[in-house]
Amino acid sequence: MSRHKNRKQNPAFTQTSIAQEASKSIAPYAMLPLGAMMLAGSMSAIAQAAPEANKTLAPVTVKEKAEAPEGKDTLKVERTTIGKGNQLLRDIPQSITVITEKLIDDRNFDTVKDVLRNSGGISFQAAEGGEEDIKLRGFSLQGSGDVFVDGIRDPAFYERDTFNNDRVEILRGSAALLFGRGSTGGAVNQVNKQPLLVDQNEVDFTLGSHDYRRLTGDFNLKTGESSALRLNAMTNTADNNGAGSRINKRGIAGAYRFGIGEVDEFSVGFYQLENRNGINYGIRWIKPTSASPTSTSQLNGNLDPDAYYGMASDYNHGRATYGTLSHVHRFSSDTELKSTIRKGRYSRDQRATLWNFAGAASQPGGQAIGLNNFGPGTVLTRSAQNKVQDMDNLYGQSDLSSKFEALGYKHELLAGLDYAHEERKVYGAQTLTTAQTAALTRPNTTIGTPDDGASIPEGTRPFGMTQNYRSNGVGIYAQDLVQIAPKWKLLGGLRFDRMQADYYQFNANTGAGTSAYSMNIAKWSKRAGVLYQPTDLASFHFAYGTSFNTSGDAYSLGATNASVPPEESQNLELGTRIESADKRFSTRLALFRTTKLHERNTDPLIPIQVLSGKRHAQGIDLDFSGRITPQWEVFGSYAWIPVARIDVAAEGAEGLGQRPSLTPKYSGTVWTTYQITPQIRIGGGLNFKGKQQPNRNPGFFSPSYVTADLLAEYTVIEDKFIIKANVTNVANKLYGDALYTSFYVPGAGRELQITAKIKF
Amino acid sequence: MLLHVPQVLAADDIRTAQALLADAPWTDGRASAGPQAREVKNNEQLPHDCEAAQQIRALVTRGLDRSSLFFSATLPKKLFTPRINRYGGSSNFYGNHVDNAVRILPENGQRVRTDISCTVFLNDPADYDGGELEIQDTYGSQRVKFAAGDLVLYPGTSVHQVRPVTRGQRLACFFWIESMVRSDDQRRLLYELDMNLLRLRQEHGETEVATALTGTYHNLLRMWADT
Repeated sequence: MSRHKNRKQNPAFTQTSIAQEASKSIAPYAMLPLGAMMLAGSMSAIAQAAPEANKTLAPVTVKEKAEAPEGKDTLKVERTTIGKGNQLLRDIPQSITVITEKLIDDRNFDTVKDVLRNSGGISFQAAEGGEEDIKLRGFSLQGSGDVFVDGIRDPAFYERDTFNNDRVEILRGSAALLFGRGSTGGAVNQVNKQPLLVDQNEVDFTLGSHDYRRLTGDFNLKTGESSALRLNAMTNTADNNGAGSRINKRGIAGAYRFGIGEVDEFSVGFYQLENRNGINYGIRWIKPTSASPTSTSQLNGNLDPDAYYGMASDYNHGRATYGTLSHVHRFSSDTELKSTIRKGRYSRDQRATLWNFAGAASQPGGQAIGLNNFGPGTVLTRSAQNKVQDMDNLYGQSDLSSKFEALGYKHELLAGLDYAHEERKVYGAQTLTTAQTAALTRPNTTIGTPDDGASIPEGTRPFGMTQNYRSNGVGIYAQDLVQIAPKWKLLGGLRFDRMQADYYQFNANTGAGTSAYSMNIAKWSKRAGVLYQPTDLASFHFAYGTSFNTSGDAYSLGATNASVPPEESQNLELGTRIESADKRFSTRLALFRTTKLHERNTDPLIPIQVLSGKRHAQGIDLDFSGRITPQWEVFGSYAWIPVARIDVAAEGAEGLGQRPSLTPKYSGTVWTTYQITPQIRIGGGLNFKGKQQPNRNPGFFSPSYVTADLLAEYTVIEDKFIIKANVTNVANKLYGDALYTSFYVPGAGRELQITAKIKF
Repeated sequence: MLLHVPQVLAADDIRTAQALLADAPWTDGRASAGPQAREVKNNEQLPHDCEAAQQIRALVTRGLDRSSLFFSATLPKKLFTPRINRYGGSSNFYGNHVDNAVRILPENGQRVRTDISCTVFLNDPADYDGGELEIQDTYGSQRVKFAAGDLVLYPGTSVHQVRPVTRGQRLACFFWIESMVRSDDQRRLLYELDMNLLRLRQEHGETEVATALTGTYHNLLRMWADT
């Protein structure tokens, strides 16, 4: 009986027992089992069996299907390349949120901005230049060039698309050690799709509200034992993105990788994205009555987010083109050197309208506009907000990662050097002739006639170069992670940057040079931390890092800032990353304090900028991602910043003691899906953000909001054909997405999108 | 089915193998893995055509030839060229993964379906800490490590991993078998029938019942086998 019980509980053990008993009882030359009698013979003969004559076998796909799949298959990842090299997330003592292609697909994120909108701690400024300035923990990201593609700086302004993304990584807090200048709030890294050793193809077609049509193709072809080709293509059009901008873009990206997994691995890649979109430059804040104080300004609830009052001839054209060569040499299983060269050209040509309420005299009833008398008859004036600029960049970087034992300790060394050449040209409108002025004047419109189709020959406006910025920078860094005891690791790193930049200004009409400035930077950055990893499921860290922002971060210099030393920032973080026992689910939590010391400020007494400011942000951010059960998947990202303050300020800037603008107390997202049957999966999510002030803290707030998204997916043929429907902003909630002192860009209203996904 | 087959290699064979491995040209195990497996694989492997690998492979296949249990349990049709790996130092684990369903023999391009995975231990568990082979079967998770020269068989369909080696080195030879009987359950029934028949024959001789049941074994095999 007990034997029977034992068998039930542990059949494998019992199997072993049978085998042992049997083998004990098989004396030499005794009886053989039947299988052995029949087959006893040469295993080597079996191993060397001749190729089969039968050629009618179906094609066999050989896949290394391990538990660390690509971004297509998972919400949760364990490794990242954001820290340069290829590291376990648990070994990086810093908050990192990873948004994979699966989440991007599930939620139909078609721009990187969409992706970022769904992460805690992010906010957007609707900047004067129409540029999408991204803030992380309230610190400017894109303005300081903290956006990366495959770990390489990608500082140009263009509407980034997700069609070639395997995942998007958001690293929070100072990280100059890895990236050089910038990265006070953190860094965003788009990870491009890599050629893989499999044959897999996918075509997605989406139809949606506002005549939204998007077609993407992702083709991966294994071309040899260790080589593969991947091609991604996208075309996307729509009358409106739900927030007043039409979409018309296409992209293509290809990469060929050979020697995959071998001693020397090479890849050559090409990327091009072309946007011929429209632009909603912004909607004016509105006061309850024209006589109300500015501090009562609010979002205009009487305007649909998709209402467009710009010109039909407005546009936002951008093109990003880059080519990348990379090589990995693996000296041993523990040491590899990765080198990459990228050459990129980026152009942006924006012709936008900023509208305003016409003066009292032009309004019906002769009253200035407030919410009390706002209506279809309200007259709007339209003015030009144009921006034409190009960038031309060259980057080269080499990173060595090595594991070794020395002086009785295990070391993980990361070291490298990088070179950057950046050139930016800005063009300004030339003075118009009387005839041109007449032709290019934007006519007035009224609230009752959105999208009135009015058009001017905006493309004929003459431009001349006004600014030319050129810089050369080199950086060298080394970081060592030392295992000092079985559960403890110490991290230390240093980086040195040298950068030289020249900046010239020209008269747009004559081309004559008007002024020239130059900047020289030599700066050290530091990183130190301690990791405590009591089990392979839990990792705790305490870390310190610094970063610096140069006056050249926004690629412009002037008399007031050219010779100002870089701003300095530091980040303190206490955090943990914990995995479930089956490693299918992980959570991350960090307590941080980011301080910007010596912030640039304009001294009101002397018209130059000085490093006198100081501000800090302090809070908690957390993420969770993975599977709770095989059917139930979740992703969440949340940032709570209860403390944010301008500690030292200059007059005229955001005030002393105030909470910095665009730093909501809380922000985040949750998303969950459930596979009800093998065919049907449903999902839903929330995005939320606390109230926040536009830049320069004008004293009024964009209110807090929550929006909800839904997903329903039906698998028609498993792994072949899937249909899904997404509804975003289900309640058609009006909220301010990107904010500026005098206007805001609303978040997209309710949208329905239906996608057919074909895999072959 | 997880099956432990003891002493596939003789003591002499083990000593020979260990001597060959002492100064073998180890390479990064990840070099043979696809990009996804690379993420979880962290060990060292012998180049499959090096002298040491060839000699050890010969020792192992000779050992298999001698093992009647091995034949009964696997009913082999094709064997994927055995490989040799090492876990230790900083290359000390291979996270959860499922093996390729089909492998291509480098020698002749022939396809081998990996019905059964095999590991032959080349050194003793006393030589290292950790390094258990953990197999997630339908019965739950099993962790095993056996004496040098022993072999463990487990279904190729299972998710498995080699847990980190925290002291010393774990040396093993591993390979896959395409069985004449594709289904793990059917193979297991045949094996149990075979083993019990063996006992029956040993205890009672070749009785009428044993002969009839032998017929049943062969008929089942005829029904299920694909030669």
